Amino acid sequence: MDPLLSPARIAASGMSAQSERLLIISENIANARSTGNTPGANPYARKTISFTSEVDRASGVNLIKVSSYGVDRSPFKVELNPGSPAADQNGYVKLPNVNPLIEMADMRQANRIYQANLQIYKQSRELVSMTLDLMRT
Amino acid sequence: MSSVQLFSIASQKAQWLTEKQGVIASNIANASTTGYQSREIEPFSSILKSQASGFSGGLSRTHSKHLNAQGITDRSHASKGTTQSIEISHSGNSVSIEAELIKGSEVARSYALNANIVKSFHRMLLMSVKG
Repeated sequence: MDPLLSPARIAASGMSAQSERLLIISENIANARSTGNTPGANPYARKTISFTSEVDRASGVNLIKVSSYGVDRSPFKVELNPGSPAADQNGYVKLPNVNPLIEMADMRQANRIYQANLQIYKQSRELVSMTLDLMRT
Repeated sequence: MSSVQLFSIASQKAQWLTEKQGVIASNIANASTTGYQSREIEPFSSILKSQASGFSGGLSRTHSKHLNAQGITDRSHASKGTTQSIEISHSGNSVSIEAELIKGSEVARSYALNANIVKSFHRMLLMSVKG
């Protein structure tokens, strides 16, 4: 594979990984108040995502892949709300273990890494155009 | 002819810069990978040195009057070493995005310099050919 195009490909894999992360974050934020439907049922559990670096056989470069999706096992918050359909016999409702602050911080980080990848992509495109300009003299 | 050698050095430099850009790209792409150690490519001067020693050695000869086989070197220079950066986050990741971006812009600048040098030498060659 062309060595000038492989940085662009690596950056593209990084961008797709970060957008996958953004997807998980948006799911978590959207479901921040999703309770169960039956009395005492467990609510939505926060999802996590982790990445791994993998050597691409065709080009011999380190691409990034999603290694696993996981579920946060931290305890659920409990709120007194006897009117809810998910309330147990004492009137307590289990709420998801999603902390919007953590999700926002995570989102910011994903944004920044996405931007950095985009920058590298632009730079490699510039390198290619500089090389092509050599023929124009 | 010295100008021809300049072209070969310039193309080597361009090759090295693209390798470097690849390493930087994979560092940034893996900025959120658990346990990923940032990598760095070996400097261009050491590659030039190793190639120079390769030229003087060449193929081994049994007699000093035998032909000296020069210029048979392969490009096995893109070895990457792991560097220990200052900042290591809790997940064991040692990529610093700012440092990588600075390195990336440095690569772009040297690539522009390299391309412009080749361009101007090409123009000089053309001038001497056309008269």
